[in-house]
Amino acid sequence: MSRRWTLPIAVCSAVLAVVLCVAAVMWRTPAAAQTRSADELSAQAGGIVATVFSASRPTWKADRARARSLTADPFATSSSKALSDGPPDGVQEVRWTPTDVGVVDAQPESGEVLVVVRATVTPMSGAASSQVKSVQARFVRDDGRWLLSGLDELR
Amino acid sequence: MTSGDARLRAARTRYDDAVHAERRARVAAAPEIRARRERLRRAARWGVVACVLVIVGCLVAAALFVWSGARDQRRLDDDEQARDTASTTVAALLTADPAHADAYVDRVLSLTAGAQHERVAKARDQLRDAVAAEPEPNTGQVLSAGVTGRSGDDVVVVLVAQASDPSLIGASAADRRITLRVTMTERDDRWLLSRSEVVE
Repeated sequence: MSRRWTLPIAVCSAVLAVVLCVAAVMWRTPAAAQTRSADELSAQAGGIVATVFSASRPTWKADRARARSLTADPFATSSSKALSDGPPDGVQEVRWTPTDVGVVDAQPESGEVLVVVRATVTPMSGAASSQVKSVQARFVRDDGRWLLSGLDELR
Repeated sequence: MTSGDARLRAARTRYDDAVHAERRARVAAAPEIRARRERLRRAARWGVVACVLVIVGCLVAAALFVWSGARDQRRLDDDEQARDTASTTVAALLTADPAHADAYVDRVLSLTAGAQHERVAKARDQLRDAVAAEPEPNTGQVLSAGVTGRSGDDVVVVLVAQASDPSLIGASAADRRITLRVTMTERDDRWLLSRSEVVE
């Protein structure tokens, strides 16, 4: 083969290699996006749910504002009153502590997570009471942040 | 000598001069031509080297993308299969017909592995008698299941189930809705329940 063909053949091969690389990236992208969503939801969902449903009397207003900043519609609208009201009579603190976070479904822009929490209510006087709750929480990604968009209490 | 001969000689002389001038010019330009050819050859060589680097880089990157994509897809498939199998297995464990107690125990044994399998195998007779003594068939369904993570190659799933008799899986019979944490183990391309724990 003549040496004058070496460069054109090398250029064509390089172009083919670039096309192959782009195809590999495109093939990988959907699974990578789903895996990334699953990892992010696994790490963040419990904390988001806990933050939205936890508040302490001395910092109630700030806690509720923080909770509202972590919600998206339709949950933000349906819970706007509950997330704006002051503390219930006789309640010092409500604290949700996640114990298990199971990813039910993870898509690049949305996801569903089963969150098991220990919900503890501390009254103004007397002992705190706890119970285990299991909730199915729905999330949407908004500008790179996961926000709580729906919630069903299963148990 | 005719004037025609003189013109012919003059033309030949001019032709010879032109040929000599062309030769001299060629000789004078030869180093520059050689240098230009050498520059082009060198540029082509570097072009080929650059192309080879691009090819190698792209092939390595493509291989890495394919490898990581396959790994991600395998994990998604494993999670989905483990989650779906955990749901059907727990539903099967909560569904017991007293008229077919032996079949129930056999089914439970076929769906479990490890510690869970051994526990059922050891208490096989008691479990069969307990199921046979039930006044009516028990049913159960899983409301939701999610993958919490991995323990080695095992997949841990948390799920909420509704059952007419939660004691079939070791939960308190008082609460119809139960939350379970189960470990799924893959054996011979089948996901089996190897551990279950009631979350209370």
